[in-house]
Amino acid sequence: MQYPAATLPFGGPIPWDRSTAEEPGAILPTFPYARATPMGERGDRAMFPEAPPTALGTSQAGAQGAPEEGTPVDAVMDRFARGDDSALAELYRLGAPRVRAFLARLCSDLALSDDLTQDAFLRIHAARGKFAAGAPALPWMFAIARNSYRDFLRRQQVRREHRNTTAMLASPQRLDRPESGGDRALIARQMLGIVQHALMSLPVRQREAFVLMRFEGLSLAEAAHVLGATEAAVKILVHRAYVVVRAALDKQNQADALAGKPGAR
Amino acid sequence: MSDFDLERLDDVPDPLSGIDTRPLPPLRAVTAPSPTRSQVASVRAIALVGALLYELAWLTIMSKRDDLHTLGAMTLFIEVAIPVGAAILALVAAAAPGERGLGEPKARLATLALLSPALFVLATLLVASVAPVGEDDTLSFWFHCFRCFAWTSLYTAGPLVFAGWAFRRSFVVAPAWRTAALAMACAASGAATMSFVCSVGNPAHVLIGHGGTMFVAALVGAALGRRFGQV
Repeated sequence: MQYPAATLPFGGPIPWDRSTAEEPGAILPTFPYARATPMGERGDRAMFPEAPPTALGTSQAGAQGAPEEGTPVDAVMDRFARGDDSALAELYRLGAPRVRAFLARLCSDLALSDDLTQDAFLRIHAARGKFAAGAPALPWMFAIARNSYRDFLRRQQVRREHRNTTAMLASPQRLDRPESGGDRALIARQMLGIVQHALMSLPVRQREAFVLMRFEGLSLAEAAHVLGATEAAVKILVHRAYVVVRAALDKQNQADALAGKPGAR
Repeated sequence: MSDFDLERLDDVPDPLSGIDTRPLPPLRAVTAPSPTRSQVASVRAIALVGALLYELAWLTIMSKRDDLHTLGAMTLFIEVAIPVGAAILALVAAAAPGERGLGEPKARLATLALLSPALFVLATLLVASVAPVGEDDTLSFWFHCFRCFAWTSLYTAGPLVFAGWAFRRSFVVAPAWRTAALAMACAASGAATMSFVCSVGNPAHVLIGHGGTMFVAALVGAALGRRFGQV
């Protein structure tokens, strides 16, 4: 199966993209759902039209405005809510990658995102009976993961370590990137680091809204539900976040252009 | 800003792109059993029945207002229906699953939650202006208010306990709003019970003495919501 190459906005393919890796399988993202796809046709099905249906389709359909029904994760969550304890392992297998990715993008710390994912799934387990029948599971899980993250921040604040933690989390080095050669790869890593740094400089609420809509593929209505805000408020949050991130990227692009680096525009 | 094109978000690359190559860590062992959906529904039904029985018990214990026999059926219905309607509105705001299972959207939640006390206030003023009931206070207005407030709080306590039991750690989104609405529903049910006991028709008395618990309960619920109501 030939996958189309994912691209970065400043030109050129992502160096470690599976379709362009020199050794196929050498640098494979284990997050098949982490996407660099256009908003308009989000999701794996849109990016890889020949790919088999993913286990997690809720958010992808959400971007189109039509609620998707009967995705495996929804069905598994429903089984779990009805009392099938064996469904927890499957739910974790299906849902944890998305929850972990969401948390990693929020906190920029992979180890912390692992801990928070565990916490979120303990909460999901405890609250399974409150999951409404027929509801999409992913927004519900994202909302619980967000609560885990918020509670973590609150605990940090109580311990008066918030400033230090924020500084630690804001460090672009927290997400270690695979080292692959070439100037283009270097620029790509640099750009992603800039995005990460810009995201961490945002207020938490803006970051949550931006991550949910840009990277998790939720529609405006779904993001508003998860954040407990109105759609207009979410749009404003996302716009403000976009302005900050875009400005950081533009600044870097200008610097690269002045330095005559390849890929800069 | 409202016409911001969301398609422009595509410009921003994913900082997590191709980074996380680690396998998922195993899920921490879960030892404590958790209630299933049917068990949660049962608990909530039991709580609702328990709260109603609690109010009925007080109605049985307390002496009814003197003018109960002389009141018209419509007047009595309105006096009881107002707080009951407010309670139902607040309960719907708090507990409705919403179309996505995350509860009502924020705008509708806020509307319903604020509509509940608004209905109580407006209807009380309307009823008092159209058909004044009760007699003028001979004792101090504030003494009466305080006494009724204390009794209404007592009538509210039972439903609050049941609600706390049934809805603990139930709200995924906007727990403060939803817990406030839930507490308001409990207080409105207490106010409904109070309508059978207190004959003072002065709207200021009804609003402060009977409806004041709704305000206080909402504040307490909002303050405790995140700690006890959030999943």
